[in-house]
Amino acid sequence: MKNSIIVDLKNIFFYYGETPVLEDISFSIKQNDFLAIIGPNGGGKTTLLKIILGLSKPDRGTVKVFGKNPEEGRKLAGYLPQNISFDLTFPINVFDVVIMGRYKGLIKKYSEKDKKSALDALETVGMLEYRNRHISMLSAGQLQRILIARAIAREPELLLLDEPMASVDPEMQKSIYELFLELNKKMAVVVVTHDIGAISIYIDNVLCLNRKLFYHGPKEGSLGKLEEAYSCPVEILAHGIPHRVLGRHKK
Amino acid sequence: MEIFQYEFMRNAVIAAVLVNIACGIVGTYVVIKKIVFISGGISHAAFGGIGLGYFLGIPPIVAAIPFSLISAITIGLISKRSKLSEDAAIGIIWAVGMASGIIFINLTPGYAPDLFSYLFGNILTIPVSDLYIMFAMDLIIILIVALFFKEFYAISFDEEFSTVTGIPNRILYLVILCMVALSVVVLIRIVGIILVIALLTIPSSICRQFTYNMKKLIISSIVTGIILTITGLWISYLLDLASGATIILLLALVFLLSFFIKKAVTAVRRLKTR
Repeated sequence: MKNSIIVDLKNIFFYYGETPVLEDISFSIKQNDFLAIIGPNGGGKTTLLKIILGLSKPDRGTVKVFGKNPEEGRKLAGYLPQNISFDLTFPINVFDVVIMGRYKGLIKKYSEKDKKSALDALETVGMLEYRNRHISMLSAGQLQRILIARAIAREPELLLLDEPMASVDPEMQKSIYELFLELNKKMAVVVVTHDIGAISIYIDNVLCLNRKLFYHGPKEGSLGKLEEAYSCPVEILAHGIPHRVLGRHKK
Repeated sequence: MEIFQYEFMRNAVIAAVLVNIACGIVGTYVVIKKIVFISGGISHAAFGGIGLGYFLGIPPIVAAIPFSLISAITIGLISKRSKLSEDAAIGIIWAVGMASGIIFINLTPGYAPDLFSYLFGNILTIPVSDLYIMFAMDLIIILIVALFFKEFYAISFDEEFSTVTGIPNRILYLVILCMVALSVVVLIRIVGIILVIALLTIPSSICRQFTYNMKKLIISSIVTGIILTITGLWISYLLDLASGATIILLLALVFLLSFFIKKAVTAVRRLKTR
């Protein structure tokens, strides 16, 4: 079952008013994938994640997540949003944020196992000692790690991460990517990023998105297609030092 | 304390305790979920229910219960589902509720007694029957929050993430708005429709400056509300002023003071950690 399809999108169209955001997107994600969704700003990457999670409804096309509709299937997913959609003065500490990732259903209390999973997730991202801190007393990078912990505390089968390295400093980035690589042994990992360079040594597959799907396949074959998606030359070092995608622009 | 020998005073004090239980709980959600303006809309729309009560010849407060619940659900549905901007929707329901209240009273033959007390409140004229209604509302609110505490906490914090984890966000949001509607109804007697929003939000706004713990926030809001309502009542008795308005001004004054106290406490703590 290692290679079974867990997310399947067919002919997805999404419009923001009259503006097309996604046009005719079809692809699937497998159980053991480590996929990077890349493309320029406004290319529809976040929208695509939200469609998989059932947070946005496509105007056309079908979505299946674990063989079900997204509202059902998303319960097996862990999610890291791109933008913080909450108030930093909200009365909540780090532990209470992370345990929300363990939510299982109405009325059920968080069990001892839920609490342990939340603490384990905090330890994994190196934030255990901050568990009783209020969220307003964290740096942006620390907060990002807390939200990663919230996503993985769920012990999901599909981890969807929208720009996970935003505001995380470079030293931490490496260890977080290695964490994702480790998690990938147990679950599919999808990373949305506009910076392919840093992640390229870890991922297997790339999906280039700029309104249309330009490429989906092994990272080695993505070079030409990336340029097409960005409409500018892109350098990608498949097995090397992290590198920027938005390289030299030809005048 | 000779003032508490009067029965109406005893009723007033019991009412102060009962409404602040509802207010402390619901007001905390109103404040942290930032639905103050929605709650203002629901409370003003309740005036339609008061008018309907006069028109049908039933106790206005009883008519206000279903009326507020319906307006709460309407506001909730419009604000989440339609493209109409949320604050425009609130403004419309707000005005429609008040306008229909006025029309109902127009259509009612004769003079509408104690209409003023529904607009501005009068804690001193509360009949015992209203105390039972308040008690029932408290029980309903406590029961709902005890059942869904975890869910309300999650959707108040991060609506999008809570949706992904499988919390039925929209329905629970409507449940919160219905609790707001119920507390508005019990509050109308105390401070009146126009001032409801202050009693609902000020105690929690005072307390949230001093605690980050949700349960402590709710309990301290209840206690603060009770103390300030009774103190306000006492001041209004001494100075012979309108009780509702006095209570609100006292709340606002304490809120202002608490702001400076918070600043002072923070400054002292900074000095200590140096």
